[in-house]
Amino acid sequence: MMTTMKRILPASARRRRTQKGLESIEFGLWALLMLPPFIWMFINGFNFIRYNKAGDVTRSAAMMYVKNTDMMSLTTQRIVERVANGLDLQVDSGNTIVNNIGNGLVVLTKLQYVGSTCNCTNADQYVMTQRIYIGNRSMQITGAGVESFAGPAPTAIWNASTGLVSSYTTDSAARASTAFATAWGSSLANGQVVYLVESFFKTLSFGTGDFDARGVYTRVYM
Amino acid sequence: MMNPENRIPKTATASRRKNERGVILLLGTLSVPVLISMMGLGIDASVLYGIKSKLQLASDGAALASARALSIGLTTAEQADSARNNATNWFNKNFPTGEFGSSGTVVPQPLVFDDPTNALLRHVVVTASTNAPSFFMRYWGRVSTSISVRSEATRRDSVIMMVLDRSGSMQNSGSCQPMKDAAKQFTGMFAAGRDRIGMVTFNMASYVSSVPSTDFRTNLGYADSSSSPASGTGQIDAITCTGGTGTPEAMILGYNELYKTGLPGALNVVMLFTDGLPTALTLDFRGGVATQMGILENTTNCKDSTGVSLNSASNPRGNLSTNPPAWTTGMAMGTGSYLANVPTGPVAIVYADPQPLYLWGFKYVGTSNSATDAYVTGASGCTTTSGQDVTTAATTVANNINYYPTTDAFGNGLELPSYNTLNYSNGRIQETNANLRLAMLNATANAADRARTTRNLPDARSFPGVVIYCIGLGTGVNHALLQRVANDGAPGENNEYPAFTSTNSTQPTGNYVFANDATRLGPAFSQIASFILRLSQ
Repeated sequence: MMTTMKRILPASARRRRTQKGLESIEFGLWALLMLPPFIWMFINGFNFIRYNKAGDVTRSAAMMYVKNTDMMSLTTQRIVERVANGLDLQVDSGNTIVNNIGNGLVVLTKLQYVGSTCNCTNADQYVMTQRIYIGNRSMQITGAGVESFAGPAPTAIWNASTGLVSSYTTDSAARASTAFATAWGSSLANGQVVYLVESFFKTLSFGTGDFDARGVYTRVYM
Repeated sequence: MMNPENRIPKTATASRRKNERGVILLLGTLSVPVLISMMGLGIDASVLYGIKSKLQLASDGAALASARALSIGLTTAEQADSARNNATNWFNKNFPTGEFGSSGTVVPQPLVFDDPTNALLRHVVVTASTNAPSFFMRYWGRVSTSISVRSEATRRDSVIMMVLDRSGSMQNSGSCQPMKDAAKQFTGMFAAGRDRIGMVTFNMASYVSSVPSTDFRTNLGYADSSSSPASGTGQIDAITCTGGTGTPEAMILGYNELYKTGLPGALNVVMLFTDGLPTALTLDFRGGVATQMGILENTTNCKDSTGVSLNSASNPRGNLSTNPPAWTTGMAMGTGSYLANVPTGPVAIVYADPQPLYLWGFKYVGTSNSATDAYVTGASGCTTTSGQDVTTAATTVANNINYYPTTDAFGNGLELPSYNTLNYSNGRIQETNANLRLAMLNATANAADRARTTRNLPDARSFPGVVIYCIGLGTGVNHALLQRVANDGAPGENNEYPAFTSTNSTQPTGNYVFANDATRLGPAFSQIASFILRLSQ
């Protein structure tokens, strides 16, 4: 009769068996410690990249706008779209103005200070004289129905095919928002213009520090 | 109980493993400071990059706004102050104190100076600096990093000729005064002492009120928020509106003044304002083809230098070629002109509104902006069959004109087949009123085309084509014509007219702005000023 011999494992193997999972636990503990900063890094880094990219888009659009480039033309809007590569700014070739696609919006506004000497309704007011949208106009930058710091351009005064605001001296609806007027105060002379360019791009649904959870927003006055 | 002999002896490996228990945790923990440092370095670098990007953007905005403000102020010193104010304003709006945790931001003071090689260029240089905070590097002794940026913008001086319609329809619609107010507002937006603005006004006759001058605020008058001179002190206030609309002549005279000024390094602009169709042409009836009847027939007292009458088949117009009379100069164009002088004699304004065709004896050379100037008796020349001097009285001359010349007296072609095709008879332009109306449109378009064409100055320097801006007022304007003149393809602001598809891509493009009534004139003039000021950077 054959004696059954119990196989004795070497010590190293037995030790390994007893330590099985220990590395995982250690790694788990370490990861527990490191995960939050990594996530924070990832989100912030991602937001930061988008923020800087959005800044580039804003600057490029502003430079073109202030130098009298026709921002209503599809060709120009395509250039902005290319600058915003990766941010999902979409220009609809079928309709360059009213566009509800993509995750980006660039708003260009030309404002003018109408001096107190103007014998008109909007004397001593900041008014919008042009508003152009590039991208998804359904997006709301502040999430509160406001698409621009300068305020909304009501359909009644805003021309969708040219971007120009008619009768800006006489129509009170052309006035800029109180926030804008407060920010600029009395620093401009009659007829002086300000070019305001804003970009808004949706980001991950986390907000940290200076980054809003809804997305990145950049603004420049030229 | 296990026999000690049965114990498995510890191997070196096992022993090591025992010692390694918890090593990953230990190593991981030990590596945390390194990892966090690396992350910190990355974050600090990102913040640094972000702040620099934002600072550059703010600096660029300040420089551009600063260059724009060089139009504000009566002296170059005041303009430089305006530039500095704008730079501070724009910079602070774009880069508020403490942006991204930055500190010690130095608000830029722009440096304003003339270009060393082009006196018509002014540069604005903005430098800005700030300290970007270090969130992690501070533990290695670096609390902040200094960042500085530099931006530069240029402003090119403008030479502008305002070409303003002072026809009777302006008076009838109550638009004459609003136009003058808007024109003064327009001049008030440019830099005195640097930009040059002149003015041509026109009804049937054109009058060069002022050549382009840096003293335009005094010569023409102006209005702005800080100061507005009393009415009646400048040429703009002297405008009174009456008569027809001789647009082609005025257009090319405006261009001629830019050409004479001869500043190719500046932004040269013609700014045309009109409220209706062109209704008058100044035609030179001296021309003709040998062996054929002259352009002006059935007239008397038209003679060549030998005293031979020119009005019969036996004495065709060809005699003028061989025996030209010494016609008095009716309009001297001045030194360095693009246009040749236009003499008196059988040169007169042909007016197509109302029908029938009239040859008006108004002198085509204006001498003031007054309403009655065009009625002043001109130089004598030839008389019509009814005994009237063609340059002294209005008369129906349908029977006196044999055919139209191919150009007006200022060289603007009457033919432009790609626009309006004229009717011909025996190879010559028929003298019908319908033809004349089309010829007026063509001549206006051709005048604009000539103005937009690059050509050499008398000293052989190249003078680039000028930019033309147009303002049309009211329902009487021809949008397609003004789009063509401005070389602007855009449709109407409120879709009053479609896009213009025949723009000339080889020539400068301007803008056409439509004002549907006189209340829109101020914004329209301001809009054009804004276009020019943007282009001048």
